Amino acid sequence: MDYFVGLVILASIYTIGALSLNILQGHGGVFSVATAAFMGIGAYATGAVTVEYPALFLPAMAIGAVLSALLGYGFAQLTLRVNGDYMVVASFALVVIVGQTILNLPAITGGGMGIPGIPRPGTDDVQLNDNLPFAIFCVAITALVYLACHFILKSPFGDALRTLREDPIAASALGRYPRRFRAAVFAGSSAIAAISGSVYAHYISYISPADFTVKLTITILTVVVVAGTNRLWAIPLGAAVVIGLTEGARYLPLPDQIAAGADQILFGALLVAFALLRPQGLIGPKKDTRSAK
Amino acid sequence: MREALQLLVDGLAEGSRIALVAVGFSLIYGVTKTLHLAHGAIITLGAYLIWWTSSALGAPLPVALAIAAIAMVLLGMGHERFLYRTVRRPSTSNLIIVVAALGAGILLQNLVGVVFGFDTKSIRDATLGAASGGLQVAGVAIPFTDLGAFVVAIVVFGALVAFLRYTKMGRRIRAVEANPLLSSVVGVDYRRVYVWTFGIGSLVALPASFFIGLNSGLFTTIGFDAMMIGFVVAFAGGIGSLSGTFFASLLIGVVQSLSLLLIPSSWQQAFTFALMLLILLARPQGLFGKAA
Repeated sequence: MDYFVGLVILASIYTIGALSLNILQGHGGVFSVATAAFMGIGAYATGAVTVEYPALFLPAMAIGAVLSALLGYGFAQLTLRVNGDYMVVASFALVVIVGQTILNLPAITGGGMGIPGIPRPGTDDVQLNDNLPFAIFCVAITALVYLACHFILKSPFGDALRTLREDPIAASALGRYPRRFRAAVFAGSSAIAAISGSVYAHYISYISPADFTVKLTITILTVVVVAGTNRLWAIPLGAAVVIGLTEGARYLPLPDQIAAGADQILFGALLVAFALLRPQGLIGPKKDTRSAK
Repeated sequence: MREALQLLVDGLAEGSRIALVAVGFSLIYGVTKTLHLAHGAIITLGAYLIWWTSSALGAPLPVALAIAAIAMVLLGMGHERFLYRTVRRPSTSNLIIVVAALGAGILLQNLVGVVFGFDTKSIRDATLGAASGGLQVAGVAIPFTDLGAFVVAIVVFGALVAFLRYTKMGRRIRAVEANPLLSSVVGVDYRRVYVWTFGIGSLVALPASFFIGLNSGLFTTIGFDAMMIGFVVAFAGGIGSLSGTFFASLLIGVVQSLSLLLIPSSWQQAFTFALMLLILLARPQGLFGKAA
């Protein structure tokens, strides 16, 4: 039972991270691999604050989200002129820069040693030390983030975003300026990634710079690719599928050497298979809407 | 002064190793517009094959290099023929190629780990043994492996430029780079040229496998780590300009090394990447690229 509750927590972390990447990539039309960096900022904000003041878990999460949004906004402004593959390159560089900055601020981040002993959220009266109440907390946060994404994408803002992705020139003719929207989406996506990182820090209780490399982005990307970028409700499903497969692989009688690479091999195989066979994801429109140009 | 000179020499060697990764990547991207992020994993595989054939099979170094070269070329061509060609549909965005490339890279890299083990290995013990000494010039140490990387990088770059300029296949590659559709009008099948380009780009990376392995020891992420800096350099140097990539690699190697005079080594990598990011943002066409 506790095992499945643990998986629900993990699925929440993946879902929030994938929502962040999805609104950036699927709706904002920006491909960035920097999700891991923004998750790291959220995780470190939570870690640094709650180790000292366990009751301040919500303000800590908010600090992480705001810092991350600011960095995301700044990065989007800086990279206004680059697009497509250039954006991939720029975001790789950002992951390295953020990672090494974390490593070099030992007073706050513990440097290479990381931050151990991050407590679960809770106040003096209520402690979420057990997995079950913590899982409910995680699912609640996930639901809030999901609803926020849902309503934002349904709003006129969401329509404008999609128009910008499909046809930036027509959108600017209608007075929707790509630059402003892109920066806003980047900030929002970064804040959401930070929330995912915060939950991760509470759950794992130990974070170090090695956790927030491009490898983590690839994990989150796998969820997005499996789910497809056009259906928001497919994201939790994608997270469940990916977790189901990785957990299933643990039950195979694999030698240690193979088991050590099993997760990454699975992510790689999923990415390749979906790129080849179902670029629209498990649940996507049959017809690619982007072909109509 | 001697310290600066030593850093300059170290930087040129590091720049040469970066160039060996970046030039192949740049050729592939320039011609096919494919962000071939599996390039790093192919470099990892090459390094492991050199180590394995020489340590486990006792093959002499040239044989080990030849086996690694064949595997790398076939893998590079296979990526284009069986992966990117299929994924490169007119209806999907370019970004699905990035997904495929990241996936193929992480898959191959971990398969290498599963087959050969994830522990660190020494390619130096397996190949050069005690024969890896160095020179002392005016108090500056120049290891033979660094000197080798520098000389090989120049030779490989020169050979690649000559190949592109003077051979039939080279001219075809340049024609396709300039305009794939127009070249098919005159009977050049751009899809075949793409496959060849991947083969050549992967072959160019063979010395990268060897010298990076010698320099840092073997672990499964050496190729990916090298490619991270290599492909950012390729973009910062200017896509479509191989000499831009080459000189930007040497420049970044030297600047990264000399930066130690001013900043602590723990900030070195962030400094280098921030510098390249700024170059890319200020001049999206790259340092040596022509303005669009």
